Amino acid sequence: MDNRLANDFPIDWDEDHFVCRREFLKFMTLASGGLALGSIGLAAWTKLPRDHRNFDAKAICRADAIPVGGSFGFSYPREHDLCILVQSEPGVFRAYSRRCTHLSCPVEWEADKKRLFCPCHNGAFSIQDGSVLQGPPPRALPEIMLEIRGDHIFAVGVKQGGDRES
Amino acid sequence: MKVSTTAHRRRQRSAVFAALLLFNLVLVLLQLWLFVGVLESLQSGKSTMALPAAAVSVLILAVNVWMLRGVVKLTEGVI
Repeated sequence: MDNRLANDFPIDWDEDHFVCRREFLKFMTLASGGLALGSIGLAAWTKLPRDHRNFDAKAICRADAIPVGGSFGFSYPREHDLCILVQSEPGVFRAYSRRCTHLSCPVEWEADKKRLFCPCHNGAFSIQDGSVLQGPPPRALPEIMLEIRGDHIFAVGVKQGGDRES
Repeated sequence: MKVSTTAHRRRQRSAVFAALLLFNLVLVLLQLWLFVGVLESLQSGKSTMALPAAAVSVLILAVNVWMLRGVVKLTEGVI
């Protein structure tokens, strides 16, 4: 250990091992290769087919458990992905991720204004499509796709929110 | 002051080498900028930038490899 340290950080200038220009160029070309590979990986990742319904369906609650204008919190698709289910009008159910797209504060349903409100920075989202109504959020809330099977409401997929229209 | 032909060539090579190194550095920084830009755009839900950025990145890599080969040839027998 001491020898290695002494080799890497010698006291005398003459004993230091400087990187020559050709070595530096080789290293930079290697870094360039790494970045090119990374960029190809990202491009390939964007081209992968994404089925919005590839999550397992999960029962949320009974349809009659939510009053008109009421909401119900649940998690989907993973335990820590908090979502909110709202019956904004009779028979019309919509569900969104509760995580604000600004700084991930949980949004709250405001029945009187028919919007999802983030109290942290006064961001608001439309209940119709999750789009940004006001405040700093950069994009819409991801929508949870729903299916009503019998008496129960099921979450069957996640649709990512689009960018904010400026 | 009279400079010998060998020393003059060596200086010229050195200047070319330095220019290539600088150009290489700029290209790699450009690649890094593209990579970070794509990451940021993906994070905000846009993916249209990824493919052109990857193509440019590969092009830059090709230029860098070509320059490295050139430098190796240039310095053959010198070092």
